[in-house]
Amino acid sequence: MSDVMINASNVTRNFSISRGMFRGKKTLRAVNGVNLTVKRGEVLALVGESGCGKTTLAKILLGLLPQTAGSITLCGKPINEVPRLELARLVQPIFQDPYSSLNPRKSIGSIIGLPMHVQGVEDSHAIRRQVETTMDLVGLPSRLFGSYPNQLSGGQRQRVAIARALVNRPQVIVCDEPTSALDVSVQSQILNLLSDLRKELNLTYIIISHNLAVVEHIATRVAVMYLGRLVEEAKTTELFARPQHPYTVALLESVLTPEPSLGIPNTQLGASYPNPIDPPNGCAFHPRCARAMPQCSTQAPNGTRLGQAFVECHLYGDESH
Amino acid sequence: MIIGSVIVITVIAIALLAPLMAPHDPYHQDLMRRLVPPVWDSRGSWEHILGTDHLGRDYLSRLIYGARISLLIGIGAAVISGIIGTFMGVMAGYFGGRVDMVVTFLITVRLSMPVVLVALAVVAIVGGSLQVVVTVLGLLLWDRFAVVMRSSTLQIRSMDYVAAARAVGCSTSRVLIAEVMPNVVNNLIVITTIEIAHAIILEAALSFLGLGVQPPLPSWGLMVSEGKDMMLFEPWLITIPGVALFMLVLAINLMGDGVRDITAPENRN
Ligand SMILES: Nc1ncnc2c1ncn2[C@@H]1O[C@H](COP(=O)(O)OP(=O)(O)O)[C@@H](O)[C@H]1O
Ligand SMILES: [Mg+2]
Repeated sequence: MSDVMINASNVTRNFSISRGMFRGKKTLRAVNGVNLTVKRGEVLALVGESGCGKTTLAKILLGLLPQTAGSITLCGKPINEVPRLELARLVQPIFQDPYSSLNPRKSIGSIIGLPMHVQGVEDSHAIRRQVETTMDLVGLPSRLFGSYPNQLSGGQRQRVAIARALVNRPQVIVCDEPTSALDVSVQSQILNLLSDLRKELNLTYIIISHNLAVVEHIATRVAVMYLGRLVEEAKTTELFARPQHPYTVALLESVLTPEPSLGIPNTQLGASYPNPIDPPNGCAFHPRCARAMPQCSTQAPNGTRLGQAFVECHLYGDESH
Repeated sequence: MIIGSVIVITVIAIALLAPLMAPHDPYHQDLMRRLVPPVWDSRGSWEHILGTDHLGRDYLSRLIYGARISLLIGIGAAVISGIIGTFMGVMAGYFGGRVDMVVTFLITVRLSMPVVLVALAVVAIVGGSLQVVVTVLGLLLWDRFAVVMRSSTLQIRSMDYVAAARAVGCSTSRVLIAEVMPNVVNNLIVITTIEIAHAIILEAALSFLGLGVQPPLPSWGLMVSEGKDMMLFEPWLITIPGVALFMLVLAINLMGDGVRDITAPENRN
C-alpha cells in the first residue's frame, strides 16, 4: 500500500461575518467537515463552483489559515504542530494569478532562491546553482535569473512560481487554479509541465480547478465540493464515466456546453448558488437538485462508501436508520 | 522633476557648505550699516548682495544659514513622524482586527487636534528651541504617513506573494520587511517629501509667531517675522526669505512626484 501523504478528518473553517453595526455577526461555514486522504503520487482534483470553499481548504492544508475544527496530518504529522520551516519543506503552493504571486520588486533569482534563504542556506553559490537547476527543470532560460517579473510573460511567471515551489523539493504541491489566469495556448504547456514534474520528482498534487477538462487530463482522483462539503469523491475515470451525485452529474453536463474552458461552468441548475451564510436545511443542494426527494429538505445525508468512491446523497446507501 | 531636484540639491549643498558660502558671519551686527538694500537697489552695494537687516547683519549670510535650519527641521520632523506613522500604518494594515481599530482611533484623535495650535501651546509651555520644534512637529505630523501606509499595506497584504512568502516559511517580520515594505516604499517617499515641505512651512509659521526657533538663529520664518514691521519701506526683508521658502517647498514637492515615478516597478526595463 502506498503511504498516506495528507489525511484530513472533519476539517471545518468558519468565518465570522459582520453584517453592519447593529445586526451582529453570523458564522459562515466556508469548509464544513471535510474528510480527505491523499496518497503519495496521487493527483487529487478539487472541483466545485466559485465560493464553495476550495481556496479556504487549500490554505488550511498549506498551514496559511488555521482550521476551526478537525485535524490534518501531513506525512503522518499533525499540521498544527509541525514547525514552520519543516512544513514549508513538505508542502508548497502554486497560486492562480502569477501577476499577484511574484513580488514585483524582486529579481527572478531572488524569488526562486527565497525558500532556500529562509531554510538557512548561506552559501550563495549553492543557492544559485540550485536555482538555475530548478529554472532549467521548469523550462526557464537561466538568462532570466536577474530579470524582474514585469519583464516576463504570464506563462513564464507561472513557471517562476512553480520553480519557487519546487526549489526545496517538497513532497506535496497545492495548486489553486494554476492555469485559469493564463492564455488558453499556455494552459496546456503548464499542465504538461506539472504532469512531467510529478513523475520526475515523485510529487503529490492537490489541484483546484473548475475546469473539468483540465481535471480529466491531469487528476487521478476527483473530489467534488458543494457549499463547504465534499459531496462526491472517486477515481477520475470512474467519476467521469459514472457520476453518482446529482451535482456531479450537472457539473459534467456543463462540460458539453460550447465554451467549457471559460471560467465557472454553466451548470444549468435552475436556482442560483445559495448564500453560504444561510445554507439550505437538509441537503444543501436540494433546492437545485433534479432528483430531490421529500427527506432531502429536512435531513442531511450521510456519506456512503461505494467501493473506492464516496458520495453524500440520499439516493445512495442505507437510509433506513 | 529635474528643476525640483536641482533646486533641492542646490539648497542642500548650500546648507552643508554654509560656512564656506556665506560672505559674512550671519550673527555679526553692524549697527552703522542697518537696512542696507540689496544690490539691485540704487542704494545697495556688492558688499551686502542681499542687503542687511534691522541689526545690520548680512542678509545673504543669514539666508544661507537659514537653509540649514529649514532643512534640519523639515527632515528631522519628517523622519520622526515617518517612523511613527509607518510603524503604525503597516501594523494596522497587515494585522487588521484589533490593531487596526486602535491605530484608526489614534489617527482620528490626531486628526482632531489642530497642529498649529497644539504646537504653539507646547512651545509656549516648554519654550522654543530647535530640538523642541523638531520633536513637536515630528510627534504631530505622522497622521498622513499612518493613513497612507495603512491603505498601501492593506492592498499588498492580500497579494499572493505575501501568502507565498509565508508558505515558504518566512517569519512575520521577514514578510513585513522583505515583501511588504519594498512595495510601499514609493508611497512612503512621496509622503516624506510632502511632510518635509509641510514641516518647513509650519516651522516658518511658528517662528513667525515668535514660538519657533529663537533669535538670533537665522530661520527663514524668523526672518520674515523680523522684517514684517519694515514691510512697507524695506519689502525685500520679507520677499527674499519668502521666495526662498516658496521655492524650496515647491522644489521638494516636484522632486517627490518625480521620485515616485522613477521607483515604480512598471518603469523597470
Ligand atoms: N477571509 C475571509 N473572510 C470571510 N469570508 C471568507 C474569507 N475567505 C473566504 N470567505 C468565504 O468563504 C467561502 C469560500 O471561499 P473560497 O474558499 O475562496 O471559495 P473558492 O475558492 O471555492 O471559490 C466564500 O463564501 C467566501 O466568501
Ligand atoms: Mg478560489
